[in-house]
Amino acid sequence: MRKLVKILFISCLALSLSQIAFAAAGDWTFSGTNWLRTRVVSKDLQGPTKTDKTVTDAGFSVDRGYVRYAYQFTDTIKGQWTADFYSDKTSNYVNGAGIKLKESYVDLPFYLPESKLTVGLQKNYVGLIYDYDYRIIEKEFIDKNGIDASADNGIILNGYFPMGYGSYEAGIYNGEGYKKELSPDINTEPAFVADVRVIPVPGITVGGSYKSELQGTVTPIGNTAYNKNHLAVGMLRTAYGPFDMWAEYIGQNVDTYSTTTNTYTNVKKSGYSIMPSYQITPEWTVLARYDSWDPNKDKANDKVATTIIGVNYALTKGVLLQLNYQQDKPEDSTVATTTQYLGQIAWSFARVFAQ
Amino acid sequence: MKKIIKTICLLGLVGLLAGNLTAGQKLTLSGSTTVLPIAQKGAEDFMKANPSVDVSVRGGGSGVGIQAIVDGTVDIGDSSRAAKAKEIATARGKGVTMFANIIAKDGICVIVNKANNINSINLDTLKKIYSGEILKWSDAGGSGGSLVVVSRDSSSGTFEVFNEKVLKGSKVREDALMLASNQAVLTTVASTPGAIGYVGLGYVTDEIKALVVNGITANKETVISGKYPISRPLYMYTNGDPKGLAKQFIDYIMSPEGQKMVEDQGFVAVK
Repeated sequence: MRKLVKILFISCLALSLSQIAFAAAGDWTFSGTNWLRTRVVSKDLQGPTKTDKTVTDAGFSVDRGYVRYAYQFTDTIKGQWTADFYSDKTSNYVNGAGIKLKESYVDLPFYLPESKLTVGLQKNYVGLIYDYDYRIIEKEFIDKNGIDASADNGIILNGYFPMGYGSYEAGIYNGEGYKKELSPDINTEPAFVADVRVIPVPGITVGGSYKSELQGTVTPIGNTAYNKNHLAVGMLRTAYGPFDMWAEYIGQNVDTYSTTTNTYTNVKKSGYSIMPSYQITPEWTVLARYDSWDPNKDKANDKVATTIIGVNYALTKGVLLQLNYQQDKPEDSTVATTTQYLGQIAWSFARVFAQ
Repeated sequence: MKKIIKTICLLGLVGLLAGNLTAGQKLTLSGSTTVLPIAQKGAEDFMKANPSVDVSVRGGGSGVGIQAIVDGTVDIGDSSRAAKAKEIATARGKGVTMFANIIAKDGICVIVNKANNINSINLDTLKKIYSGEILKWSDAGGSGGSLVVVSRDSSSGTFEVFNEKVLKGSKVREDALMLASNQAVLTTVASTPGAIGYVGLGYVTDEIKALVVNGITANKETVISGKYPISRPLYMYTNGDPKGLAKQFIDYIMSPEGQKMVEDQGFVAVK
């Protein structure tokens, strides 16, 4: 069955290539986004010996920066390339910054109306991860908890239903995401993904995603993070005037491998995230988010609840000042609660150059 | 000291309220540069008839106008194309209903120098001429030796129609004259033997010869019916049925007076 699906998508690629139109005048776009951040992080140490809050991190940083180049070959063919410059703590500020390729894909025309085939390193069409616009400083729920990567290599058919009644995506990815240094290609099996959004009435969007990957042949032998990974996400968005609320529920079923016992352990994970916002004026927006994440449903006392409140102020188009208060509270009372006060200026630009 | 602060605050509040009470009503439009002349002249006429109303009109292109309706930053989004499924879906997701008000039609006439003996052309030949596959009039059924291809610049709405309906993604030949206005195209074609160009229906004069395209003559009837192949509707998008000032403005554009103004601007009236 999986072979059939693979053949189907490779056939889609061949069909898509046969649709390529004649070359046309090409516009190109240069754009970028930077996040200049300041933070104070404290831990509420509630262990047997410490009771006071301890500041564990404070300072300024430019954690991320995207630089993007897009070229419109014809009306229906576009290439896009994004470099992700990162200088966060996990990179240990090696040489000031690191660089990852975040996007490198080409959109090709496809036979269905309002559809295209996207080939290459691209967004991961799972849950709200590809909708997320960083209106809150923290990463999107799936990304934050390491449930799935925000980008991956693959071939995805994507399009819109007639009359704006929603959208769909389906295709195959490698399944390991774009952060190769953290999660190299561990097997030969692709991940299959399907995502659908339906907008029955303006202001109400319901949808769901499903992603599935099996182990296949492991290279090298023993480098096995999981035997299977099934991820299901349900989403809801309600928007009315200045009010906008996003919500998603996630269920994940993973078989993890132990090299010491040479056995697989099944782990079921689940969680949800709700993010309402209210635009008071064109400049001011107040936001909140509540996440609940259970990394092992069979294990007690391991949930983490995240509460975020924030305010955004648009200084001008493309320059956003963000202030967030964030608390990550573990269910286990012996584990420290983390509190963060975050400030950020997110600035972005885009310039279209017509040929 | 406290009294002074209180007084300042009260005065500030009164000032703010007074400002709000005396401020007139405001209507904002942005979008297509093709629709811009209609929007600008319509705004002038509307403000004359309604002196308390301030109508602000900006260009930016059809995509900008549609996005502005999606974002709720304008009352009317001007567009020379229908909103795409992606744009409608984005709007619906945000609780916005894209409502298309067709206020005019735009027909593009293919014109040649009066000395040319050609009277009609088909879209395929036209595409070959503009993409550089045909270089001589003798290969296109006309007279006048070498072809002089005249086009509008790629930022114009007229070029958008021509690109969509004729070129269909092909690139305009590199030696084409890319001119900034309908009038410039008209003047160049009228004075250059061997020239071919295209202008809005309202700009056609007896200085040049307008060609029959695919057997259809460009006129008000064939453009409105959509029979003429190089034509399109022009839109003023609103969030849902137009209401309040936006409705009054669109009602004016659709009135006999407004539709006459549409024709005066070189477009085809729809009523």
